[in-house]
Amino acid sequence: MELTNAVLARAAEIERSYHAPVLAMRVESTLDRVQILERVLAAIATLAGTDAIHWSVDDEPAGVIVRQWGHAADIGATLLDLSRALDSEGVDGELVVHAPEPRPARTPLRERPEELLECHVRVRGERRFAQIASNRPEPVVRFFPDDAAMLAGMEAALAWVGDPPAGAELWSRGDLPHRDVGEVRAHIAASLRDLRGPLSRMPTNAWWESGDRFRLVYVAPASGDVSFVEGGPRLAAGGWEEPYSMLVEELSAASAWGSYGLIKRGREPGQVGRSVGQDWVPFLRSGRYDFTYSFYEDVLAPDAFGAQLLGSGYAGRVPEGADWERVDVGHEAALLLHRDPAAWFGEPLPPITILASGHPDPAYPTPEVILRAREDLAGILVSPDAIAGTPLDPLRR
Amino acid sequence: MTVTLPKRVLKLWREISADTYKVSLDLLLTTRMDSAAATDVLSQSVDRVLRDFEAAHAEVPPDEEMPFAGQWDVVRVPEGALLLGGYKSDAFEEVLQAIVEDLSREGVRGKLDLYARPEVPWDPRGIGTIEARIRVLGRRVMDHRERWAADRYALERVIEAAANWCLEARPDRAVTLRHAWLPTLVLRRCDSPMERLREVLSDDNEVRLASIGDERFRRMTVVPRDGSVTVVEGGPVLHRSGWRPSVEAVTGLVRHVSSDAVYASVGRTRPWAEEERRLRMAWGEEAAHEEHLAPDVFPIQLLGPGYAGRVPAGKDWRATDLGEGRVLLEHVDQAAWLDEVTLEEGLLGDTIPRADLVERARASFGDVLFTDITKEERDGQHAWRMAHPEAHLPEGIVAKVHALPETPYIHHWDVALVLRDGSVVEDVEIGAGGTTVRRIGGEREFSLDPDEVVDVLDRSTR
Repeated sequence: MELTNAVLARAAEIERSYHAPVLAMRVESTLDRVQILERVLAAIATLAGTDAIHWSVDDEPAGVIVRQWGHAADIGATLLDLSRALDSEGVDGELVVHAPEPRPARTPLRERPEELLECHVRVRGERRFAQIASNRPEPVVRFFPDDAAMLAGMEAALAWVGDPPAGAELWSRGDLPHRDVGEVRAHIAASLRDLRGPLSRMPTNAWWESGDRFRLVYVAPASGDVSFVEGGPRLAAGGWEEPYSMLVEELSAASAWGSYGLIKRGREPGQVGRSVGQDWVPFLRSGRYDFTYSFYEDVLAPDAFGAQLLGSGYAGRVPEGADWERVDVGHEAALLLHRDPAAWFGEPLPPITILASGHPDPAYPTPEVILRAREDLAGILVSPDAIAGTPLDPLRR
Repeated sequence: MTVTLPKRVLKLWREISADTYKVSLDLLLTTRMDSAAATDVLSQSVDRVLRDFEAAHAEVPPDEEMPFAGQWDVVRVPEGALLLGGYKSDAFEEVLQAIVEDLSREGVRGKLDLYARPEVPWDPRGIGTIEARIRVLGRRVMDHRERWAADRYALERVIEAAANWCLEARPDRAVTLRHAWLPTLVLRRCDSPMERLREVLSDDNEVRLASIGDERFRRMTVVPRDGSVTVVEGGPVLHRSGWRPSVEAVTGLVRHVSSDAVYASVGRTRPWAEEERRLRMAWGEEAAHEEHLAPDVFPIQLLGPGYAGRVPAGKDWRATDLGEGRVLLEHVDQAAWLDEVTLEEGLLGDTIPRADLVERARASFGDVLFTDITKEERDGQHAWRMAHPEAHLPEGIVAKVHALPETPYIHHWDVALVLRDGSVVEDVEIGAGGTTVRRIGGEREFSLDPDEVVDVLDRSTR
């Protein structure tokens, strides 16, 4: 078993640097993979327990990888010991440096613009008064999601990202991808225990990216928000129909646990979950979008969208009109779909900035289809007037 | 000047301190000396300069605040002596120039220049950690409150075993070391972690050694003052049933060091609500009683000889005799204590372990558990201290205490005091860093005029 000069050079380089202190070597041998693995494991077993040097052996796509770490006065000598042990076990060939290609540097998904379609769902629940901070004694209205509905929403979201295509990695918080969606589920479950109370439970994002598309979900157990997203270069190039169709399916299925839902176009993955206020055309009818509007989505829609799920809170108030198709989906809920989805989802929105959302300019080029829809759906849209006076039940006048 | 200070040092300082005084600089002293000698020399120089600074500003007008020299620390790094300086300093440039001049006066030749500290990697993210808290051999002593004084030789053995346990884990990212309040340092592979650890270990400061991998990290935290060594394993490896090998690993360490421990617990860390805690007024004093009273219930506990005849029994517990009067007590349903919560449980606010399981376990431990201190008891302790001023030894005697052979118990001295009249007071216990008589003849109430003490005699048993 030849110990290549490159291995010795790499060992010397690691030793005196602040780089990761693990020397990784690949066994290149004429033996078959199984034989290499068995014999290398046997060889390493003979070295264990000497000095403060430690070894691991892994069967990886690149081959059988031997890793060494720990402190030794003479690392070269420990590598010679390895070489001799491999000889004794009948492993021929050479040990070469194993240095995986570094991950390509790319701006993280949630920090860069990407064309996307988002299906946002408000789970079922109820409005209650709550004291939200010790320095704010006056109770304020908050939406409290129902546990069973929230659980169903979270499971649906996990299913949306739970089966990444080959080669795509599943990410959420942290600096390493998850091995599978079970890990994401476990992290969300652990995060539910917030000692400050249910209103302080942190939201979670999870996503995968493949070559030309990505999927992303957002779940906020404190507020009852669930979002399903698909986007990326394929959508930007005009491929909207397939993701739109799948999101409509999700929206329809959400009738079992959701009180309201919408599908919208956007371009800020980092704003998913709160994108109606930050990644949508400006609100012109009432100054600007107020995040407290989201507490009323079970009875008042935040805006007009090309596809909406109107739950039982909209019973008897589902708008009608030539541009709209109503589809009853059970659970006293209906999908309200615009008859020209391409006008809503086939083209990117006009440029939107935080400034545009926060300080609407009447000259903003809101697409005509949205302006007309706002008129059609005026009866179910939220506004300051609609929620003034009866904040827990704005429909009771 | 024989120590040079490149202009970029002050230039950078002026930039970073323009808007805030809560900044510091990392400066490296490189000389022909080895890094240990350079660190000693620089430490002494900093001490002198800070003393002189304080003396020079001792008298300030009543309406002015005394200027603060800032936080200045010195630590050895392989490349030389690292000076971490200037945090909150009112006079950074003055102090730094004084240090350079002092070094030069001492004949040091070299350069004090900016240093880029190697970046310390994050721990890989997991859900809680599997933790073993080990209380080493020692004895209960009285300081301000009751305290566990560790047997230093047992502590050293446990530290060595725990450090080796950490270093077995593959450090895909780094091996790191931190002591006291100083920043965490990355260790190079050519630097023996055990030697670096011994270098920074002292009776006074907490030390942390960690091996940080991609999927797993292990960390040891040593608090010499109360004889505790805590090891944790964390990271994505804990997911699903991955906690089982981690529990086996930390329990293996507990077994390995059991003859040097009086008590240990193994569990999974998680946030505990205030109402779930047993002890709210103990303020750490329970640590002084762990040799015979457990602080709480855990899925695995090492119960030392102090628990003889009182080890909880019953179908929920499995006891294994480890010899030397030590028992490893394990709950039969480990998953009920150590599994991950499900989404359903999380939404309902359920915990693992469930509250009823903890209650049952606490009931089965009964009086083997430490009883929380009441507010009345705390008030009583406070009143007693107010009525009994502490017996502080004169500076010269404190120096003699520190000059005694190394005490076998961390921060605790068994001595006899020689008084001015030639008499000798036996069975004296000194604590508080060697400055204060805590007990005489085992009693906290005694009569002694510290100014009458002229000498101190070692009475420790080794």
